[in-house]
Amino acid sequence: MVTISSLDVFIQVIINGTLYGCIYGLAAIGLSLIFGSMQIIFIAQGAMMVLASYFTYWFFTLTSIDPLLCFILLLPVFYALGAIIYRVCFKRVARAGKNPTLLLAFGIMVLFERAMALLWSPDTRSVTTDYTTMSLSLGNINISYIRLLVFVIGIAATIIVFLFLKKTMWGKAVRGSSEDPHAAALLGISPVKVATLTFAIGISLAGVAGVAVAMSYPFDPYFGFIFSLKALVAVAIGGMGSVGGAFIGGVLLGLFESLGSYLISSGWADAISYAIFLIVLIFFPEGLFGRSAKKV
Amino acid sequence: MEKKLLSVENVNVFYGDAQAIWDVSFHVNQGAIVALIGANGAGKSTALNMISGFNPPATGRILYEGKSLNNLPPEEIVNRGISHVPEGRRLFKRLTVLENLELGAFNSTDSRKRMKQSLEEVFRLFPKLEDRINQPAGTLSGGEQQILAIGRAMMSQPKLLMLDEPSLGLAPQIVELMFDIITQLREKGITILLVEQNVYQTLRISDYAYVLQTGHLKMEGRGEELLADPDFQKTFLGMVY
Repeated sequence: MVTISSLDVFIQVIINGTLYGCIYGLAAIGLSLIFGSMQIIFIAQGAMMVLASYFTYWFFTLTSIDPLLCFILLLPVFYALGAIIYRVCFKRVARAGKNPTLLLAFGIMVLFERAMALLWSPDTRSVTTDYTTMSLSLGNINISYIRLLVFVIGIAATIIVFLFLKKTMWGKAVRGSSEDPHAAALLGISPVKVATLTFAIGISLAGVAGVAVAMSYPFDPYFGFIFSLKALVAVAIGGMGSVGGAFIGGVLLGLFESLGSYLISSGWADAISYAIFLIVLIFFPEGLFGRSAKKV
Repeated sequence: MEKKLLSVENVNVFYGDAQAIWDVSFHVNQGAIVALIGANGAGKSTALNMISGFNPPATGRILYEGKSLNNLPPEEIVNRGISHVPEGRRLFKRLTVLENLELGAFNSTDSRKRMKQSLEEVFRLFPKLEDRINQPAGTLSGGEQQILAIGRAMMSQPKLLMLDEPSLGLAPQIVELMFDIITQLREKGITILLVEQNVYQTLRISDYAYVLQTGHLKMEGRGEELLADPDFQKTFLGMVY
């Protein structure tokens, strides 16, 4: 084990890990929403993210639209994409249970990955703006503005989704329907409408995360899969169906990975995240912020 | 003359290949309490699910206020003014009492506009609920949960309230209370279609009752007529009490 050479480096590692974890967190909220209300493990979440990364890349190279604008431009696009994916692919299959929907999600992932490889080639792309390398310096600690922005957007998205679920009629309908779809239908809450909405929001969040990825990392068509896996780990840490939990789970995961890389070796980052996954599943099967305590 | 609010005409209902209801007809007059009684598996809950649009009849007609309900989706049937309190209450246990009630008014913009008024009405009927609005529904007692389930169904201001086994699993004195509540609801002008296994008390409060047996309509009549009928006594009262 390497000893901590300086406090500054250590703090830098924590900050980077936290900010990295925000992207996991963003992907995880969407995954958690979709799983919470439909019991669908949407493994294609990462592919959706990378699709948004490519759109950002496209807008940037073809029209020099600032990637920051893509956060807003892509929202309606991915909202519609989510609604369409649910209506076309999942609406019928959802009744068949978890395994068929997981297979379907896997198929969608492969389809999108291949399509992206065809459209944009399998080469690694990146979006480099004027401010990509700019960072905020506090003494010896540097925080890149982009990562800081991702952090703020992650927290904002979590708060917005949380408020939507707690304060709006549709949000309450999503929560009610995820607990008992039949009871919700008896009250006139159409399960199809609720599921479409949930999917649309979940994929919109993947879109937001994808723009963040494009701004922060080089990516290729297959870059998303690892994010799907990490988002699943984040959801397991945070607890299924808990929006804030999923985001915090993502942040914690990023933090552990980056600390592990620093303290042990960077080759161990993935091993550490899956070890955490197993430990949480064994000792806290409902997640750290899960619902078990509130169950009656 | 009494006006028919709901009439079910010669319906046959299937679950997959299995027929659950055979050529059954019944009707519910405006302002009445009508009961469907019978043993487990008689098709009572199936009849309610048929009316609320979850399992439409293969043949036959359901008329409500003179219009057909056949093949309407469940949400449209709620909009027409029919509320269904399902067996086992099926509350959203993790949501608060208030959130459960609010979702009862989800069905239409009209219901949502009337939300405040509907809430006041429900709290006037069931003052206990008002003390617990921020409590998760799952923490209420069985009787309170049943009351909340009825309150939730009242939030869409229905004309016809269908209650499936409201007394199931409740302590005897709470069962009494439940039948009082049903009578009170009728006094407020709500028409009630009641499914129950608690035959004696059900017949005491109902205006008319239909007896189902394995999916067939066996008998019908006013409560006191059935109670006095020797056949009925032998099959039902002997069995239940």
